[in-house]
Amino acid sequence: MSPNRKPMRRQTVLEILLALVLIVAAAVTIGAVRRAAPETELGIGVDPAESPDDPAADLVTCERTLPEASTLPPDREDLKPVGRVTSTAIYECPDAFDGQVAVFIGEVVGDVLRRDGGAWVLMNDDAYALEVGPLQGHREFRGANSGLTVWLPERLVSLVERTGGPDARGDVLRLRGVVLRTDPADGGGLTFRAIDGQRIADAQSVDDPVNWPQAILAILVAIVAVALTLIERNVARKR
Amino acid sequence: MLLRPSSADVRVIVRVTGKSLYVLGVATLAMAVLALTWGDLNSASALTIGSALALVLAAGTDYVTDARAALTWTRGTVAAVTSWISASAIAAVPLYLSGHYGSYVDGMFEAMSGLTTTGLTLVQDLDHLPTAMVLYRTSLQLLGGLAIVTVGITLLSATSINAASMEATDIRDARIIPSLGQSWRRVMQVGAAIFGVGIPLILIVMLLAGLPVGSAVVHAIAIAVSAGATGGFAPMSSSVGYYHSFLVELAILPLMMAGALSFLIHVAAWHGARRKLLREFEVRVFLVAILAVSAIVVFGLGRSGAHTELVPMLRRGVFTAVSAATTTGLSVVHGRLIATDWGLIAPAALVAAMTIGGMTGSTAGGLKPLRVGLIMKGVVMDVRRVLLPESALVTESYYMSRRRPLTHGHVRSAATLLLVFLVATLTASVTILFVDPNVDLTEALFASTSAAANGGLTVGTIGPAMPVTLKLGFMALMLLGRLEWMAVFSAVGFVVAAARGRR
Repeated sequence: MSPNRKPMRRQTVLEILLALVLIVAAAVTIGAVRRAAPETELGIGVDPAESPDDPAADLVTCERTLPEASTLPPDREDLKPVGRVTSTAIYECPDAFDGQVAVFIGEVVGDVLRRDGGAWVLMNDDAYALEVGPLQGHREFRGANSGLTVWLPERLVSLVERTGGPDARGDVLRLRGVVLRTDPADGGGLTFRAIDGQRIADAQSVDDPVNWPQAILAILVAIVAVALTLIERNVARKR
Repeated sequence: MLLRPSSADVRVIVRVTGKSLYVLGVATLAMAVLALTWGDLNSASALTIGSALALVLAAGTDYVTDARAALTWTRGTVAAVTSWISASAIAAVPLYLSGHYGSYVDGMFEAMSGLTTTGLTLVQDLDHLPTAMVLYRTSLQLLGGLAIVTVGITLLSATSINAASMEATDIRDARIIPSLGQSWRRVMQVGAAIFGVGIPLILIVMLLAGLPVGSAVVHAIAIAVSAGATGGFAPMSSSVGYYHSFLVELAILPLMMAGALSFLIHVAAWHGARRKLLREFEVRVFLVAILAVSAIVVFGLGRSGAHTELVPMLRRGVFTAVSAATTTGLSVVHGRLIATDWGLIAPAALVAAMTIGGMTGSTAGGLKPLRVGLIMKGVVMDVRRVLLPESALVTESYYMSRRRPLTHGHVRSAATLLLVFLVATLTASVTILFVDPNVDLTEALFASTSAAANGGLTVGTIGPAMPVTLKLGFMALMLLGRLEWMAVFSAVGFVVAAARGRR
């Protein structure tokens, strides 16, 4: 390994072992201060995998036979939805849903990107949006987010008063619209073009209380870090 | 015969690891201050704990190490491995405490993914993640990107042409390599130039896309750093598709390319040698690979029926192809659609693009275009040798700063790495198939290549619900890919020597 070889000293091994013990102790302490669930679920009680009572919104999946894809203009008011769709189902078989009029329920998250004639929004229909609320408010892990890109025409943009983010579960909308596998208005992206809809749940703030044990631990380890850094600097200067 | 490492070896390795942790600690502290100014006390305390742990360990290592011992190639490679592992372990702490990761292993997976600029993620409910944590994930990619270039330039440049093929056999063990600090400063300058241009550019196009100012600033930093460091983390679950803006996509493309170009090339370009750059063999292979993959992906999209019009085909296809070839992992399309709607040709081309990857001395992963180019030239040389008369002298050369003759040693080393890469990805794919019966071979290959090449694109296979064994396996693949395989083998050799070597 090196030109002037000296075997590894017992002290080096002990130092490594000491470091490992400290790391394990730190891990145990960190595990202990990790926040407990604040118990403030903000779900609206809609299971993304099941249909609400509305018969017009029976959940549609790839397996269910869908009618021939519609070539009608997406703003036709009299089009009947084939049922309720979920983003997960659409991503599994986008060609089967292409052009279908359907119902989509989801939480508006992020920003409302206004463009001529309407706005683009991201609407999540995962468990955090519909069942249990944002993860900031509880510790019920339900996987990654899932949602659809939704185009809201100008008359529907006002349905969105507050969007979801770190501090809130956004407005939840129930929309009737058309699934487009490749929407030219979005450069060929998969979109849901809303025809009409309503807000079925207002946005709600997430209660995220301060985790005091974690805050106290942070102060303690910060003091230790500053002290050790200063001592080490002094030792280095004397060397 | 294996020689047991000396105390000096261990102390140098610990010293370099400590320096890495010090940089991580300072960066995390900056994020903690940011969270505090936003009034996000929980994120601030989580980040402070992570920062303090890193600084305590850094101070401890400084105390026990010997500053006089020199850094050799072997010590450097082992230090790189220990730095990435320990930095990931510490960087995982704030993520774990954020409450958006199911376990500490998930947090470490995320940290490893960020620090290796892979971009695969196990975050849960990203769309409600506090802004401080979004930026913390971003900072991990920045640190990892700059650090890997520093390591690449310092350790690999010390081996001259061997850097290209990782032909480590004739490296003198005691060879002193240049100062890491010196390389770090050079890399920081190039990084500052890339992000100094990139962040304002992305900010402007995001404002044009309709984002409110506050949101646009956070997104611009996150996306510009992610693209420039070829990282792949995005602030929203729908990645770049969130912005619905051709201008945003157009602005991200050159940033991804800049991140995947060697930082030495950036320095040369800065000093006016722009015309010479196109003579560089690796630049040519890289550009040809991007053009070829883009064309195949666009063709595949047309063939699969996912798109019927040329403009969307080009827009989606070229962006995804460049993202794969630069191993960035940003996406304009939901990952699942690549598996369910893009047929077989386009995903196969993306796998090939990630395998080739970006240039040596860049933040990108993959095998590196230089090695792929050397293998191709070796094949051409062998074919010519068969076709020409026995007495004919068949030679090949390539341009890398100067014209160099191609030797069998270069081709063999590059081919060895290709073989190691293929064996690792195939083994990982088979493991995925065994563990998860819902995954098909294409998806398994895509996922394992994405991890091993630090690509970051996903087709939905990699997620929080994966078994722990797969998470650990993917972490190992990310580390192996990031540290160019031989460095990790060197570290394993070090451990074996420590246990079984002769005094």
